[in-house]
Amino acid sequence: MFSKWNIGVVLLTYGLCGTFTASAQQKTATITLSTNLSAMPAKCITLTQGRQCFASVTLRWQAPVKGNYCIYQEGKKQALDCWYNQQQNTTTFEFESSKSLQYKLVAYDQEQVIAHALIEVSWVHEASPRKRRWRLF
Amino acid sequence: MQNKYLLLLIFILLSVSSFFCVANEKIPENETTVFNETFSWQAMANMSLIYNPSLLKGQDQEDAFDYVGASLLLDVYYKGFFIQSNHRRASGLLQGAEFGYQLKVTPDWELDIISKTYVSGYIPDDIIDNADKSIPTLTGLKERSAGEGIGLRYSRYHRNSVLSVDFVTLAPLSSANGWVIDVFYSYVLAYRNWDIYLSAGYTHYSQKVMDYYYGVNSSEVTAARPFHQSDSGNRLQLELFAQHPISEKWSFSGGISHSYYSKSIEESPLVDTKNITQIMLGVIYVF
Repeated sequence: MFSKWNIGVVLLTYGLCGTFTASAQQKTATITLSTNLSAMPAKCITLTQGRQCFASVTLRWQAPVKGNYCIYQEGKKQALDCWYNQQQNTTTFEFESSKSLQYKLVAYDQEQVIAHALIEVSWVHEASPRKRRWRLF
Repeated sequence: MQNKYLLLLIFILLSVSSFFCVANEKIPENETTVFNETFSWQAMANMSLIYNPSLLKGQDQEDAFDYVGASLLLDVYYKGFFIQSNHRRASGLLQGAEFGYQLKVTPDWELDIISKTYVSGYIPDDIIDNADKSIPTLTGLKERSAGEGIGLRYSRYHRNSVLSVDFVTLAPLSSANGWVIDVFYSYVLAYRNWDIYLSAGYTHYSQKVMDYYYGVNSSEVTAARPFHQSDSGNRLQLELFAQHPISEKWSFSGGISHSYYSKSIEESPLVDTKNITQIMLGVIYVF
């Protein structure tokens, strides 16, 4: 049915496609991994909407090259933490807010924001127009 | 038995709840404004382990189901009308729920028409059936229906606390007749994501109320149960209740409550003790 040439062409095409796909995936993975800022936990849950939410949050970052980096809370001038001649690191801090907050990783040398992370504030009970009174028994 | 059905119902509701998209709240512009168009509601299910001893002689928690509590909690608010459920065990339609209407609301105080169950009823035959043993003080005793009351509630708000005083009559809604004054103070302590409620209550039951629940009339007299006419009675209550979020749908809740009743209650031949400690540990699911 198929000649040796046909089989050869099919195998070659498959092999090339496979190589390109793997290469593309690798490239994407490298880019994704190279610049990253993630929060753990990324969500802080409070009991009632509008109430302050507290969590011990770890921010983990990774940059493409070694350098000087800082993490800032969006809208704040003071850095949460800074590192010198590092490519990746973590920082843990006490999160306290009633609203979701964004954090940014800044490459200090280029003065450029290279990654963001959001800590979302969520709640169990919506705000109510009536003050609730809890009574057990 | 009722608990078993309620537990089953809650599990069914929990399992089907993911199919419903319930946009149940409008965010209010002003928490204290009454005469706006704000409508809000929230349905919750509470499943808990409860240690809930009884004042009545011979009534104990017998099997595992007696320690399991399940209740549907419903908060509804519309133009001053409200329904608010509390954490009591659901043993009657009104049990644990407060129905009311806000007559006057200011940032500092509020006056409501209020209706709720102020005294739990009991059915002696059911208690005996559940206990699977003879309880001479309850044998042949007539049913005492739940003490639903209606009256006025004055609430005074402070930054982290509320003091409320209820003046109610049981006459229109229950067989108990008589009246009740219920004073309740609650202070909420917010520690990180915990809400900790430290509360104290004082309840005064009129002579008619006490006599209905703890009195023994001439037709009910037996060798184990002499004639008894109760005086008015009081209850002092201290309560600690805490809540902590688990996820957007679930929260943990737990609490302990100690009630100290006046001597007039202990004098009843139906009653065993004048000190009751109740404990509840559970979870709340918000629909």
